[in-house]
Parts: sequence; C-alpha cells; structure tokens
Amino acid sequence: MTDQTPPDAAPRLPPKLRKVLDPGQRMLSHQVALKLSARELTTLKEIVTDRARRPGDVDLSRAISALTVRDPSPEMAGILSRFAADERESPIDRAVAAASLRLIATDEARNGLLTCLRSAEPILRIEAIKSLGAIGDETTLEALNEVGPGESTAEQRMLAFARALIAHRLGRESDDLPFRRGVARRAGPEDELISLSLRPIRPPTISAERGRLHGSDFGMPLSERVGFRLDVGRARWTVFVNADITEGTGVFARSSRIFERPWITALLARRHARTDSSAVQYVVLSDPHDDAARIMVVRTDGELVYSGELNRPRGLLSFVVRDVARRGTAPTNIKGHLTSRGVELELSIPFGRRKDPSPGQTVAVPR
Amino acid sequence: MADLSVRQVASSCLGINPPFSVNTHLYGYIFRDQNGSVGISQPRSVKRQLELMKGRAINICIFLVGHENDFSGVVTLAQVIAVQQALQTVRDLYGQVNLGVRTLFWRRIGMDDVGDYTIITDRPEAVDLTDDFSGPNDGIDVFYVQSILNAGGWSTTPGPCDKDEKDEMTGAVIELSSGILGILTAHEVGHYLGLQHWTTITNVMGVDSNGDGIGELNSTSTNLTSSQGTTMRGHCAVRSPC
Repeated sequence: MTDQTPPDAAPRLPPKLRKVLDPGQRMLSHQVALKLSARELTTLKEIVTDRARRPGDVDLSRAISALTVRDPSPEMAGILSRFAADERESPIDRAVAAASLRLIATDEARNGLLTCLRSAEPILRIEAIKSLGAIGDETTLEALNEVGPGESTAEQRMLAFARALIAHRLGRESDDLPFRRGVARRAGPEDELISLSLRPIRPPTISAERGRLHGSDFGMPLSERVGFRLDVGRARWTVFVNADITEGTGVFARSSRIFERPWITALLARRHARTDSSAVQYVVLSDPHDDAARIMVVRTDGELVYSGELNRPRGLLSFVVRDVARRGTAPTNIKGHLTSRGVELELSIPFGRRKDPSPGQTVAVPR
Repeated sequence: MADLSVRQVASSCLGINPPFSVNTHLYGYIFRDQNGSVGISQPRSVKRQLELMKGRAINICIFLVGHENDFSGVVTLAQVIAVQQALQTVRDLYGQVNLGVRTLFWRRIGMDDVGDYTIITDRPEAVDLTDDFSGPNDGIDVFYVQSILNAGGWSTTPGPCDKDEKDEMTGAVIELSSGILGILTAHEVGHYLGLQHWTTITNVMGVDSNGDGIGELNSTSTNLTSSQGTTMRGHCAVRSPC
C-alpha cells in the first residue's frame, strides 16, 4: 500500500487524533494525552511545526497541550520555544506554548521563554514569566533582574513572584515579594466557620498522591517521606514538602534546615475528586527571620494569600498561618505544632465565606 | 398559556416596561455583528421563551475574561456573538426539560485585572478565577476564557448556593475556542446544577468512556432526560416561577 497523499497536502488525521484535535468535540484529557502512540505523537509534532501542511480545522492549543504531557523532552522544548516565538501563530496559541513549557525544565525551554519576554503580546509575556518562575535557574534569575517593570499590575506581580520563586529555589535572599503580616482573626459565630484538619500522610500515600499530581512541581523536589493532607470544608489539598528540607533528618518536626536559608518549602496541590487528580494551587515560601522563619502562601499567579511564621520552641515545629485580608479570600487564622504523633491545632478559625470578591466590570456595547 | 404577553412577562419576570427590544432585553443578547444581527442561527420562538422564562428558570452571569468594551482586549466580536449563540443553545437544550434561562447579566474582566486568567492551565486556576470574581446577582457565574488546557471547561457538582462559599468553585469556566460552545456551556452549567456524566455521548452530560473524569462531548450531545430535568430544577440556583 502506498501513501496517496500529495506531498504538500495536509496529512489525514488518524481517527483518535481527529477526535482529540477537533474543536467540535471534547476528547482531550491528561490520560488521553498520555496514551497517544508514537505515530500519533509524530503527527502532532508535524501539525505544530509545519504550518504549510497543517489541517485547517484543528485546535492547536490542544495539540500543544497533548504534546507536552506526552513527551516533555528537550526536543519538545525546542519545538514549543520556536512556536512561541513565531509571530505568524496566534497570540493565544503562542501563550499556550509558553504555559506548556513550564512542564519541561530544560535550557531549551528557559531560553525560548526568555525570548518571549521581548514580545509585544501581554498574554504571551505573562505566561512566559510564569513558566520561567516555575523552571528558572541562576541564569534565568539574572535575566529576569534585567527586565524592566512589567506593563500591567499582573505582569509586575508575576515578575516579582518569578524572581522570588527562583531565589527561594536557589536559597537566595530576595525582596521581590514583600512579607505582609496576616490578620489575627477572632472566632465568629460557629455557623460561619467550616471544618479544617491537617494530618500527616505516610510514604505510600505520598507516592500515590505524586502519581495524581498534574502540572508543574515548581522545581521543588518532593519529599517521599513527609507530606500532609489538608481538608477545609469540601476542599482537599495534598501538602508536598521539599525533600531537601526533610532529607537526612529523622523527624520533620525536629528539622532545622528550614531556618537556615530561604526555601520553596511546600506545595499545596488541590485535589479534584472527579478526575482523581491534583494540581498546585499554592506555593509556600519560607525565609529565616531572627530565630524563626516567615512563611508566605502564594497562589501560582503570584498573589500572596496567607502568611505566617514557623518557630521551634522546645524542639517542636510550631506554625501560625493567617490570611492577609486580600479581597476574595476567606478570613483564616490557624495555629498549631507538629509532634511525633502528627499535627496538633491550638487555634483553628477558618471562615466559610470569602470576603468581597470582585463583581467585575460593566459591559458596554459599542454603538 | 393563552394570556401570555411579552409586556406582562417582561414586567413580572424582568422588571422592565416598554419600550424595550425583544433581543436585547427579553433575551439579553446585547451584541450585534457587523450586519446588525445577534448571530442566532437556529429558529427561535418568543412564545416558548416567555413560557420558559415564567416557569422555573436560572439566571446566568456571563463573565467575558480579558474583554475591553472597545474590543481592544483578547475577546473578539466573533467570540461574543458565539457566546450569544451558545446561550441560545443552552436555552434550547434546557427547554427540553422545562428549565428556562431567564436573565443574562453581562460582566467583564478587563485586561488590567485579568492577569493570567485568559488561559487556564489547570483546575485550581479555574477555582482561583471563581474565587476572585463573583457576579453581583443571583445568576450562575459562567466565565468565558480563551483556552483551557486538558479540558474544555471546569465546574463543580453540585455548585454551591452561596457564591461566596470558600471551599468550592462558585461558577463554571469555559473555553471560547470550543466548536460546540453551546453544548459545552450546557454541560458545565449542568454539572453546577447537579448532573453527573451520562452513559451515552448523545446526552448533554456526555460520557466518560475511559474513566478519567472528563466528559466526552460532540455535536450530538443534545439530549436531557426527565430525571436530569428534575435534578436541575431542584437546584438552589433555580428561581421560582414569576
């Protein structure tokens, strides 16, 4: 059998890829992407790289997304870097490529993302900065320090967070993300509070949770021995702890490395029951401060949401975490300590309602 | 419904009185394309819309994410017209089980505030979006973004009654790049109203054939059963007859 396709014509897509890429269907998921065959992978690469032979009715964002999940290789970083830099492609698809590069921590990806910072497209720059924060190294930090202030508040915030993330990964002091003290909330009526529990999970559970984690790990080595499960009302997170902090110490509660230098200390990955998966919602940064350590719980878009302190009275590790009175956040005040038996909460004030979310802006129709 | 009048329903259900435009005020389709059309291709029955609007119905608060009123943001005129078309599809699909869509509230998140929400990379980002913004009314919040990686939309089942609730998504997030935007919107809002995935792809709730939690949909995903209708109409976001 010979290939009847004329050399310059768009390739005929295999049925499975047709379903994945057809904007008129919804078939793509993380699991579907993982199961793409080598041949399907090759076809996807051709779709992304060869504009001339690209079928007209494919969703390029899905192609990029599937490729990154299926093959997070240096070669793919090169492909996506070139795509993100290609001004003939749509800004949205280029931004999707930049966002996808945060899953491939290679020099190719970092260099490609740094090139995107020169783009005139704000959404591309924002995704590139965000990805650089997730995978950036020393060279990236130097390059980001040379970048001027961002055009928008969001870009400035993302830039500050990216620098802070890399600095904490490298153990460097950084004043990019200033510490803001949380509010010492008092308990309100019982019906305004929701349940909260924080408890350690065992290595087999941590391993299983690592298997469920999708998306970026922000370049933090995940401890195989120390982790927690956080339940707040109906929401659930897995707390992954930095392996470099827990490594070599018998009990996390006695660890002192956390007080030695800045760290990306933990990741809070939010669980989604229906897809049985999780992705990081909050990154916990810590900085030594006097005899203690300050902690900042930051969303992946650089929004500081909670802050607090770690202390070590009598060899225990105690913590305080409070909301910083940010619009759209529920008041929260938690205090407790880690013992050899687990986590003991002395104070738990998690309110169930968010305060003052934005109503957005009015839509006016042009005349 | 022999006595059904546009004037009466508009007054009792929407609180508006003549003069008003059927498209703009009764349906809530505020955008026009270059030809002056609201872009709805399927036939519409005003009588049916009045019937549905008077009965048990939901309100929808549409957030255009990254939209500027002069279209200098990331949202295009073609996309808002597609949203209007999608909302009519939702009305048609939900009408099968006698659930109306009464009022559309239009909101936007401008480029200064949008941050990285134009592209949703994972579900927690969708949660953050619904945490940060909440429509100032009793409508179900539906956020239209440019692209969502590894899913066409995110919602929660069932969605909370209180849109300021802390611990769950308080709206649905949907990608504008979908070629089946109406079905996708009906699907995600269907989750919010308490529906799970179904057993056949011809249902609005699609089928999760590989068990990965993502419902597969296509252009044939248009059916709703009476039991699904009962579930939807029982959700706390559904308004009483007017």
